[in-house]
Amino acid sequence: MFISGIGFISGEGIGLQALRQTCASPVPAPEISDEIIKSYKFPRDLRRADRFSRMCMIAGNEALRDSGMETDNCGIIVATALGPHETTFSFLGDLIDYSGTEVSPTKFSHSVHNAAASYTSIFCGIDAFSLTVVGFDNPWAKGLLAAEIMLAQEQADKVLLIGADEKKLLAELLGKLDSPPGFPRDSIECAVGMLLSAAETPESYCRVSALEEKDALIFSGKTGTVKKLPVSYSGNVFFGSALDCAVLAVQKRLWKN
Amino acid sequence: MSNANSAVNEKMFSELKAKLVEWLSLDDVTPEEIGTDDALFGQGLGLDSLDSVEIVVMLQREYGISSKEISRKKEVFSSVRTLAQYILDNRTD
Amino acid sequence: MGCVSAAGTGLSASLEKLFSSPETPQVSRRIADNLSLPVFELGEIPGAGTKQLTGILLDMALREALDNAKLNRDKLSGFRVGVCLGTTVACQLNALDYYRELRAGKSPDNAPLRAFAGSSLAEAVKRDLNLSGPALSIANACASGADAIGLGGLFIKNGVCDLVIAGGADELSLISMTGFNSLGVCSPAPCRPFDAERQGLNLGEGAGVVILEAEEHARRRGVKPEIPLSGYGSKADGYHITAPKPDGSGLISAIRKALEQAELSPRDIAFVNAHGTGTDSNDSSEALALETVFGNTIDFLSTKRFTGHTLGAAGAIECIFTAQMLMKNEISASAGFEKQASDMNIAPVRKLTPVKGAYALSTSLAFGGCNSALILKRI
Repeated sequence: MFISGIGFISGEGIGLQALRQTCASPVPAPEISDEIIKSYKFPRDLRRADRFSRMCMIAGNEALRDSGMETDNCGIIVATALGPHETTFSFLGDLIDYSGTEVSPTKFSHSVHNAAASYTSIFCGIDAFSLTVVGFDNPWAKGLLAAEIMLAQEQADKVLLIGADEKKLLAELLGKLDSPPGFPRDSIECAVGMLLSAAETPESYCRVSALEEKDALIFSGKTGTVKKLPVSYSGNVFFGSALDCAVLAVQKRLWKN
Repeated sequence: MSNANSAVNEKMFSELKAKLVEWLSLDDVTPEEIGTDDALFGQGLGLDSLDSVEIVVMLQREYGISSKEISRKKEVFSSVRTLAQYILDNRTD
Repeated sequence: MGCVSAAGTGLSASLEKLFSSPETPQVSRRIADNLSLPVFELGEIPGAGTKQLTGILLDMALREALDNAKLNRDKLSGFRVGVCLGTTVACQLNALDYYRELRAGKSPDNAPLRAFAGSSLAEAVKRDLNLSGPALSIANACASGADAIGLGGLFIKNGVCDLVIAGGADELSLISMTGFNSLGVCSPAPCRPFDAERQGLNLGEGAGVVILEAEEHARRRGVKPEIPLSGYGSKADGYHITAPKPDGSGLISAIRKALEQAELSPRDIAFVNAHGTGTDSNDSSEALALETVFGNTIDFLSTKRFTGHTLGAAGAIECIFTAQMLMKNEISASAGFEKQASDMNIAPVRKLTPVKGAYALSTSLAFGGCNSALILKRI
């Protein structure tokens, strides 16, 4: 499969420029500001979308725009470790502050992990499958694998893969745990979107695979076969690997030209 | 007596419009722009099924009206006027 | 296969129950919801309290499935084994007391946090059984179990794994009970899928696990494969965050995709084990979808009157029930149903019905518009 479009949002902004800025800056902005999120306009029926869903919609839509492709026969996969954890905690807050009959149904329906994929499929016009893949151990790699299999088995001919995690209370608490190791401490908050296509297009960055080695960026979680970035940034969010993947894809294209 | 009633009603209309904007995240409309007799669902304000259940919770939290008591929901929820009247008749806060 | 739910612990207990009268859901004894919601709560579970209940239920179903497949930790070690499991509750840190203390500025014991950090269902199974293949959890709300099995099957078809442990698990929780109640979809009485007087769903809990295996691999192991997974289709509605598309078009597409993958036509399907939660909107849009694809003579039922809606486990448990009914060659009357609804042109089966064909379909629909279809075959 091919990476045919990349979308990105971080504390440095939205789009490929923000991706470059995130890598170039010695201390990239650790969180995405409210201003950045609010700068992206959504139609009215999506007004209730929470922060996590908005991050996913933005990264996904930017990847689509970058690819110039239509979304016919396109599936969506959202890969995340913690999902909309700010909203989940907010719902717990409702339960503590009010009785069981006074909790917000809007908050509840947004606290489930697949809400973001649902919003993005409405916003971007996804008509094939929708999957939300969850795990602590490199969810991006899992999402990439699922995308590759779904494409190989012709469940769609394109997949919009989005990797996202908020850096709110739960992420910070987990970062302070001594064990298990591997939870990121100095991390930046970001969401990465990729339009993955079964077929190569003139816009394609490079081939990518979660399985094969030859001629492709491999993503089983290790940094790809391309030269490692000369920049030191603590981009070690759960999506460090998604970030690596995006940066390496951009590098591959620059070298192609 | 009708003047006092209508003042009470007007106050509830504005209060309710402000609460609807806040509770339902209606960030593209101001309370003043909502017509008291505009349809809330379908046409007019164009609210949907999720807004409907959110309003039920709003009535409980803000005015102490239990969801079990709401009969004739379609009529009660049809406009700001009908909803405001229902609140005035049933609030327990 | 292995399963646990209010219908029973284990396959034979569950199957026996499916062909007799369902239990009556009761108000929870374990969870103080102050809602008086009837739920399908499991009784005393051995080992409860040692870890999250969802994980315990999963272990029970997993042990049974491995036994039936003549597998264990040692036997698995030479193979490429993947794990694909669906859940909703287990993905979130739902520790209310812990959060309450944190919010109040205290420093509570972080045991719930540490437990959560080790709780990713699929990763935990991979660790416990020392497996080497991919391990993914699917959080697709009420379609999670079905999607986990569907995707797991594709891992095998694509040659990535020899075996996949697939399924789903979910426990009752205060979060899901208050949340679903706030959406106005819970029934104050036992659920009545597809019935004219239906008032909503009852929540339940449980787990279902299937061991998926490439046919050739099973034969080499000297094990007879039980039920082929012939087709999988999954489609997004792209419509609304909670309401299903009223015209059922998402589910129609998913079913057609599964049929296409299985190289079958609608008339090859002998019966459908529908999602059938008992809510107004699910049942009417699902009935319309089934009628559109199959016409008005299709045999279909819902088993949720036996188990309640087990969320992430539902798609898996129901896939297992579908397989069991296929092997038994008959389906039970759709429990909870009495009278055809005016908003539907078709009705589920009212009595014990023989299975007239080799293939069956199991459907699952989720909030957020995920629609999934699995096709099974009797050998």
